Formats: sequence, C-alpha cells, structure tokens
Amino acid sequence: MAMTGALNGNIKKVGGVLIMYYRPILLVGIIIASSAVIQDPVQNMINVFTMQAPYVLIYTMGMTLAIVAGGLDLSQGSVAAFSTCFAAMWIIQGGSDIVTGIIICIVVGAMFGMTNGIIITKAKVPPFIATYGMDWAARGLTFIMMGGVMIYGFSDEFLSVAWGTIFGISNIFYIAIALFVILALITLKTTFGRQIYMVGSNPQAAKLSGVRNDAVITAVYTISGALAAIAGLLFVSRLDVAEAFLGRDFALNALAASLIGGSRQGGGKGGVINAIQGVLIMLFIFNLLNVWRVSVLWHPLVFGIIIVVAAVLEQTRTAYMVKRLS
Amino acid sequence: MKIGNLKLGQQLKDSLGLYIAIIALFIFLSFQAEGFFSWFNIHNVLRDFSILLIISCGMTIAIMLGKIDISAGSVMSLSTIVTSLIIAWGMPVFVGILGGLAAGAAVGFINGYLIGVQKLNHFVATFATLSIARGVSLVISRGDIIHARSRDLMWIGTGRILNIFVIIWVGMIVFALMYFFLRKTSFGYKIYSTGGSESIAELSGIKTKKVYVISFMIVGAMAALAGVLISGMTNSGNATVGDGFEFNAIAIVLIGGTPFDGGRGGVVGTFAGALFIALLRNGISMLGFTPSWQFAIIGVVILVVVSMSVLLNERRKREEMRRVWQ
Amino acid sequence: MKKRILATILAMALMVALLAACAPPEQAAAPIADPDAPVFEAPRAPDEVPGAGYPFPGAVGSSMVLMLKDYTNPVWIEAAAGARAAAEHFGIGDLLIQAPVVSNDNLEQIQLIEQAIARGLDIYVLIPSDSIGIVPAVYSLNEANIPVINLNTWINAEGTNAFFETFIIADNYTCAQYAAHQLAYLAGGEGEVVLLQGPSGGQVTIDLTRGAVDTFALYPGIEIVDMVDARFERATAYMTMQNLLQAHPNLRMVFSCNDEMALGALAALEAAGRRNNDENHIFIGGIDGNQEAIRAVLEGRLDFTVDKSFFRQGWAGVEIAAMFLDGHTLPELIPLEIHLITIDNAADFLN
Repeated sequence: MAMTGALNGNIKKVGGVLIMYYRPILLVGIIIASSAVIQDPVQNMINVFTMQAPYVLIYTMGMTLAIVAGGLDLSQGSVAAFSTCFAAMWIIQGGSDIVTGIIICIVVGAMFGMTNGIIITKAKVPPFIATYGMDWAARGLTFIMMGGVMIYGFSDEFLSVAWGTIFGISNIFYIAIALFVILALITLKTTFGRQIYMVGSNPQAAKLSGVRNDAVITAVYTISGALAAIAGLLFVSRLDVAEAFLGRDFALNALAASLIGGSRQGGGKGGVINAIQGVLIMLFIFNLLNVWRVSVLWHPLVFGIIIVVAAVLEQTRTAYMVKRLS
Repeated sequence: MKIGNLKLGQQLKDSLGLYIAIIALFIFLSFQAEGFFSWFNIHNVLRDFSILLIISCGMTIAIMLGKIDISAGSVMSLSTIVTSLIIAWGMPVFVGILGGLAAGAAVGFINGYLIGVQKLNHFVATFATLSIARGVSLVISRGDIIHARSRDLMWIGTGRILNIFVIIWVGMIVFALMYFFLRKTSFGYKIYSTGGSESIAELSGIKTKKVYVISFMIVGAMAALAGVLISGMTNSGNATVGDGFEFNAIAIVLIGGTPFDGGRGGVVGTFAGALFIALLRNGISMLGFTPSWQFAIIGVVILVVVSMSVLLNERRKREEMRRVWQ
Repeated sequence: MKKRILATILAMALMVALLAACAPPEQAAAPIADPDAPVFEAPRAPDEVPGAGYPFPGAVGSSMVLMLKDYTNPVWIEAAAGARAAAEHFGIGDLLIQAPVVSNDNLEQIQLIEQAIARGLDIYVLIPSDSIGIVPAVYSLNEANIPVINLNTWINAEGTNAFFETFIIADNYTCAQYAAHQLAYLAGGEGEVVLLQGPSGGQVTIDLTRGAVDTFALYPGIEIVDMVDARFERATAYMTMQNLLQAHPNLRMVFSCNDEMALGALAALEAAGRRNNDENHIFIGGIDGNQEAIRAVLEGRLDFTVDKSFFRQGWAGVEIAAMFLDGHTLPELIPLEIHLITIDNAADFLN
C-alpha cells in the first residue's frame, strides 16, 4: 500500500514537472526528432536559432505584447512592407544615408502602430477589425507607392547589417537578443510593463487603480509597429530587396507562435519569454517537417493540431498551478 | 438586456444611418461608375450580396455570443472541396451538398466543443480549427483544384428562377429563416441570453454548453452553405477560395450594429451591412480603381464605418443606462 | 464623443498625409520596342482619316480589357506595362487592366469579367488562374458576343461550348526544359536536384514541374530528391532552402520555378557557403526573366534565368487583339519566343 502510494506520488511529481515545463520539453523532443535524420544536427540547430528565429522573434514579440494587452496586431506584415519600402525610397532615390533610412523606417512603423492604438482606444473598434483593416489599407498604400517596382541594389554598408557576423554568428541574432532583453526588462521590471498585464487581464480594475489604459494600449501597438518595421528591415538587408509584398505571413506566424508559447488574451497571460518559446517550437516544427520531407500539404493540419494540443496543455498547466498554490 | 431591442422596428431604426449610407453609395455609383446601373450588374451584386449575407448571418450568431469564428473562411473552402469531390466521384448533387454542409457542421461542432465545453479562448480555438480545416482541404484535394464538371452544380451557381439567380433566392430564404429562428424560437432567445451574460443564463436554467455547441455548428453550416453556392458558381472546389471571408463577415456584422457584448442586434443589421459591403466592392471595381487602390480603399472604409458603428453603439448604450438610472 | 471622432479623423488624415507624401518612384524601365512590330509611317491628325497611320486601323479607338492573375507579382506588372505600351502604339482607345485582389482567385476573376461585360468592351484578353474554372466566365463573354484572346495560361474549354479566338503562349513546359537542361549541363549530367515550386494545383506549377521532371529523366545520373512548394515567394524560399540544405547535404542543383524563389534560395546558398565554386558548389537558376534576376546573372551570382518576357506577353496580347479587331484571321496557337539568359547574353536583356 505504502509502495503504490509512493509510486503514485512520484508519478504525480514527474507529471507535474512535465506539465510545468512542457514547452522546453516539447522543444527538446522536436529537436531530437529532426536531428535523427540529418547529418549535421548542430549546424541545423544553429541555422534555426541564428538565421530563422531572429526575424520571427522580433515581430512575434510585438504580437505577443498586443495579445497580453488584450488585443492583437494583424497589420504587422503590411506595416513592415510600407515602412521598409518608404525608407528604401528615401535611401535609394532620396539619397539619404543608411542611418537616416533606418530611423525613418522604424518611425514610420511606430506611427502606424500608434494609429492602430488610437483607432482601438478612441474609436473603440475591436483590435481584430482595426488591425485587419489597417493591414489592408497599409498593403494597398504600399502597392500604390511602389507602383509594382521592386527596389534593390542597396549599399554594402546596409547589407552588412544582416550579412555581417560577430564571432561567426550573424548580426541579426544579436539584434534579436538585444531587443528581447530590452523588452523583457520593460515588461517584467517596469511599472509600464506591469500596467500592460493589468490592462490585459482586467481593464476596469486597472482603470480604477489609476492606470491610463488608453495610453498603455496605444504604446503597446506603437511598439508592435516599430518591431514589425525592424523585422522588415532585417529581411530587406538580408534579401537585398524592398518589395511591396513583404511580410505576408508575419501575422499568421506571429499569431501561431504567440499562441503556442502560451500568451492569451483576457487573462494578461504570456509575455516575451513565452514568445521565444513559441517561436522556437514553431520554427523547429517547420524544420522537422521539411527535414522529414513531409509534404507541404500536411503543414497546416499539423499546425492546427499543435495549436490545439498546446492550448489544452496550457490549460492543464494553469489548472495544475492553481491546484498547487491552493 | 431589453427585449424591446430585438424587435424588428428597433433593429431597423438602429440601422437607419447605414441604410442612408447605402442609398447614397448606390446613387453615387449609378452616376459615376460606368455600367453600374444596369440589371446585369445589379443582379450580379445581389448574388455576391447573398453569399456574403449567408456567411454573415452565421457569424452574427457567433458575435452575439461574444465570440468570433475565424475559421469560417477555411470552412467555406473545405466545403467547396468536399462538395466538388463528392460530385466528381459521380454522386448526385444533393449528396455533395449534404457532404459540404456536414463538413461545415463538423468543424462547427469542434469549435463549439472547444469553446463551450473546454472553455478554450475563442480566438485560439477557431485559429486552430482554421488551420485544421485548411489542412484537411489541402490533404484531400492534394493541393489541386477539384473540378466537379456537373451541370446540376453549375445550375445552382448560375441558374435562375423567374429570371433571378438561384443563389439570391437561397439567400433570402436563409435570411428569413435566421430572423425567425433568432427572434421567434426559444433557442434563439437562449442565444441572446447566453451572449448577454453567460452566468445569468446558466442561473436561469439555460444549458449554455449546448447553446455554444449548436450555435457554432450553425455558424459552420452557414459558412459551408456559402461554400456550396460558390462551388456552384465556379463548378470547382479550391482550398483558398474562402480566405478572408471571415473578416468580411465580421466587419459586416459589426457594421450592421451587432456588438460583442450581446443583447442587441441581429440579422437585420447584418443584412444592411452585407448590402453595404457588396455595393462597396462592386463599386470600387466598376469605378476602375486598380487592385492596389482597392486594397487601400476597402481597408480604410471598413475602419471608418466600423468605428462609426461601434461609437454609435456606445452612445446608444450610454443613453440607455441614463434612461434606466433616471 | 467628439474627441473620439476627432482622434479617428486625425488618424485617417495621418494615413492620407503619408500617402500624399509618397510620390511613386520613377519607372526606370523604358519599354522595349517589339522587334516584330511592323514599321509604320507617322500618324496623321486623328480627325482626318480615322484609324489612319496605325498598323491595325480597325482597332483604333476600341476598348479592351486585360485580365492578369494578380497585381502583386512583378511579372504581371511588367505584362501590364507591355500592354499599356502596345495600347498606345496601336491607338487603342481604352485599356482596362483587371486582376483579382486575392492573388490567383478564380471566383474574383469571374466576377471581374462580369463587371467588365456590364461596363462594355470590344475584346477581352484573358490570363486565367484556373484553366477550367474560368470557363463559365468565358461562356458569359461568348454570350455577350465579346471575342476572347487567351494569353499565357490555357483556357481548358474541352467538352464545353465555350470558345476563344486564339492562344498566345510562352510555353511553361519549354521554359522548364531549357532550365533543366542548363542545370544538367552545368553539373556535368549528374547529382541531386531539388525543385522549388509555386502553389500546388496551379496550371503554371503543373506545367513547369512536368517539364523539369521529364527533362531530368533524360539524365540517368541526376536524381530529384525533393519538390517543395515555396509559393513563388522569396522569403519563403530563403527559409525553406536552409532546411533543404540540412536534409540534403549532397545537393548539387536547385531548380526554381520562378526568379523570386531563385533569388531567395540564392541568399540561403550564399550564406551557407555553397556558391564558392568548390566541390560543394550548388548550381541554381530561375525562370521568368525579371530585371533583378538578369542583373544577378550578369554579376555571376545566379547561373541563369529563362526569359518569358512578360512585357512582350502583355504587348502581344494587345497586338493580337488589335489584329483581330482589324479583321485578320488568327492561327489557333501563337507561340512566343523564349530565351535562356546566361552570363554571356544577359547584358542584352537588361533594360
């Protein structure tokens, strides 16, 4: 009797650990699975970590913050496209230097984000529709502005942003890490960060305790727009082209990664640490599917199932945490 | 929640501004857009309107419950494929139609279960089913377009009764049924109730879980019906044809005045919203704008109109509160 | 309440101001004169003799519609430019360019065609996304007595009553053959190759894939190890190529169904050091012939591309339509020239 009891207890403990850290465990499992069929698994991991993840992480963090604040940002792709194309025009045709161009790009992205925030807070349009409408509007403006032309032939100086390496690892990796650290500090250590969570989980309570909800939300969307612009810049620098249809899959990727990572609306749950986990899991799944030669036709189905699994696991984890605390 | 809000007269009064906008738009287009004011074109607009109406009626139910269903577009695509596949295999058309509708109801069931019983966040759940529906579409169609090559199916999409498109008749019937269902049946009342306040509905004996499951099945079936009609128009099934429809549907419902917090609105507003959007899309194209401009204009117009609609709603709510508290 | 409306209007005004501030960049490309176009005398004043001075008087002042597959892929923008240049050259009265907002959407193409019929037109030049699904719309055009010129992608009207006047083709199958043969030649007839494709189910993807598969089958030493849908998009191909390199470490060649994907994959290859002319060197080429790809070929970064000259396709569409309106009889099939562009002749194709 005592033996089974102890065994049960141990199984419960193991189960508890498994569910508490299910995301890292899942990630390791996926990496092992993909490593099994390739010759150089270390290089593969390095690739995903330093060549694919940085871009996705940057704009996913924007989406995650928007979700935590109770909304979401579907306009990131188009905002990235417009900002980069606009800046590219200034650089190539206006003759500005690289630094000015980069600043212009980020500022334009932030302005779009701010517009989103204003529409959501002042006009009370649900974030879903507001950012979706903005996505269409920004995309259309980009097409009109570019007139079908692609801008390429950037200077080596600009290209070195994405192509340069430090200690053999691409610059973009460091940029993404830097942004991650900054955002983690902001969201976890500052009052502003705490306010984001408050507004996201209980807007009325937040307002009553003196938080300026509208300002917080607008700030979050401004950040999201700026992050989208930065991600777009890195793509432009890497691919040496500024084109009007950049970023078409930003929103979908960011959403999936955020949800897989565990960020939730209306609960103020999640954050940039969740975002990183979600991004890595998602990219390694994608990597796994490619490496295992699973036909592209199956990808969306696999994704959908992963999301449901992740959602259920997340629920279980929350329930477990609540039980443990009580 | 006041019962008075649901009466036909009240619903029409709420949409008055919208109808004025519709008439203004119609007059403007008749003068400015070549070929707009012709039976041929208006007939086509009414056909597109009917399809939008059907899927938006379904979405109305979801929004009345305070949830959105972003899987509706993928469900639509799925049903075009299922219907076309069944017919391509030689089965009679009505079997194909039933198959398509069943597929939609099945996805809707999953949605209703995840949201109502598992209590998953509605966004996560429908995002997952969106991916799953798309995944299934891609897998069973192998990424190809499925050509049904059936005269009967084509008749549904392009045939006429009394010289009016069959699709338009279907749309009107569905609308009437929806109105009756929501306003006159006890289940319709349960939907309004659950949407207004889930806890209060539970207390008054309504089995909200059943409400969610059945409601989302209807949403799915409506999306599937729209898909069946579209497969009639093209005599084929295609995994991407429905992309973006759910956003249109949500915008239509919001423009029509049905807000997220339930308790008011209904399909009458949706009728006006669908009419507006159908006119807008046709008009922009007939005015000769290039596709780039269409993106931008539709995005901006949706933002503006939804903002106005939501703001009006807020004002109405505040006036009501004032009246109640006086 | 007022404050909110004001804020919303300000936000909108901001966006409009942004738009107003963005002047579109100057078009750098000057239209290429079609070497096959008939030489003509300078046109006399239009009111003297209607249609005089233009190669096809019967088409002067007519109204045409050109339908593209979308308005986002640069190749279609080039085709539109070619069509507009031709419209000016041939004195076409009104050329309307239509394209579905959602790329390659068949339903939208059908709706656009119906709107065009309502607007009224003399002749329709059609590039369908769905070769079979477009038939109902072709049928509508037939019923309205509007002639249809089929361009680029075949309208499959087999077994139906719908018909069109002629099919102008830049044959995808042949393009794929050129590209595949060139890759085989560069790699010495052996090695592993992956195919980067466009969205499955599209007629173009089907034709290009078939061309590649059939051609590579002629070389016993060549093995197709993977076929991946990278959606004709550069960024997707960039990420996918990285994963493919891991899955196939002995890869020798990359066959890309379009230039955008080739350029994206190229970035991945360069980053991985597989374009260094050593024993790990991977050969890669694209198809389409867009300007950036040609430049890359000239710089030696891309091994080749195949010129489908979308500009010429657009031009030809309008020219053939004008010929029809002028009363000429047209052959059933009009093939356009295809060119393989390598570093030797790339300079000729640069605008």
